[in-house]
Amino acid sequence: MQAAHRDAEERYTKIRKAVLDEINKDLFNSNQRNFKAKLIDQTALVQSEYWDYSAKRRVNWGWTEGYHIFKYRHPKRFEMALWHNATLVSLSLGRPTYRGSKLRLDFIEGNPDKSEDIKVFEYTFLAMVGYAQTLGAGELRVMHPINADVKRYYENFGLSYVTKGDYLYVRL
Amino acid sequence: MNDKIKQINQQRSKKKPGSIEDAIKRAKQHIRNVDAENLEEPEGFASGDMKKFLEDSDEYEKGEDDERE
Repeated sequence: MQAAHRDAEERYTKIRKAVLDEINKDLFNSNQRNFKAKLIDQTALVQSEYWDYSAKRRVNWGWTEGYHIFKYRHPKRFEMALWHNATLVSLSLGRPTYRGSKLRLDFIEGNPDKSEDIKVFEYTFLAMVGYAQTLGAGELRVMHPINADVKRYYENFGLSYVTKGDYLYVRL
Repeated sequence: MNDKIKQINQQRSKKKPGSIEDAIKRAKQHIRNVDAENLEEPEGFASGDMKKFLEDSDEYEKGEDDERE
């Protein structure tokens, strides 16, 4: 890894941690103390591999490979592993666009076997808004909803769908 | 309705950039404004096309980012 790349990785990791600290404060103050937002680490990636055994899973990608490649390519990335006690309930990964004016959520997946009352997008959204704030990005984009139900969910969340590019957005 | 929900902070242009905490507060207000606090997430909730990314990351990013225009 080149020095400039390493410096960027360290600098943006501090920002990512600052955002997740704020999310954890909010979870604590909202009486959702069983939840914890963390950076994606090996423990989270190992847990995510068990999602493959779920009949409810709708995608069949591997987070471990995807994360490592994405991490190397994008030191400015957004990332979050959301935990409910000792159970990983979601992983999310995104990045600012090349000019930094928008923050994309490239990949998100909820634990397919999480209970229905556990919501993972709301805190992912809050963390993205926090991260966008620090980067000066004025728009969030959620890329490629996997089906019509997920697309409708985002629309109900206040995001607008753009057919060309297959994404949803909200201006900040 | 759409105008209301497409922009979380309509006062942003009049304000200096705030803290992460302030941004999170505004985002929570947005969620309340659109009544999304108790939305049920679809089963198998996920977004993205990681398979395409893994097959050819350069191609995935080349084709998907309008910021290169």
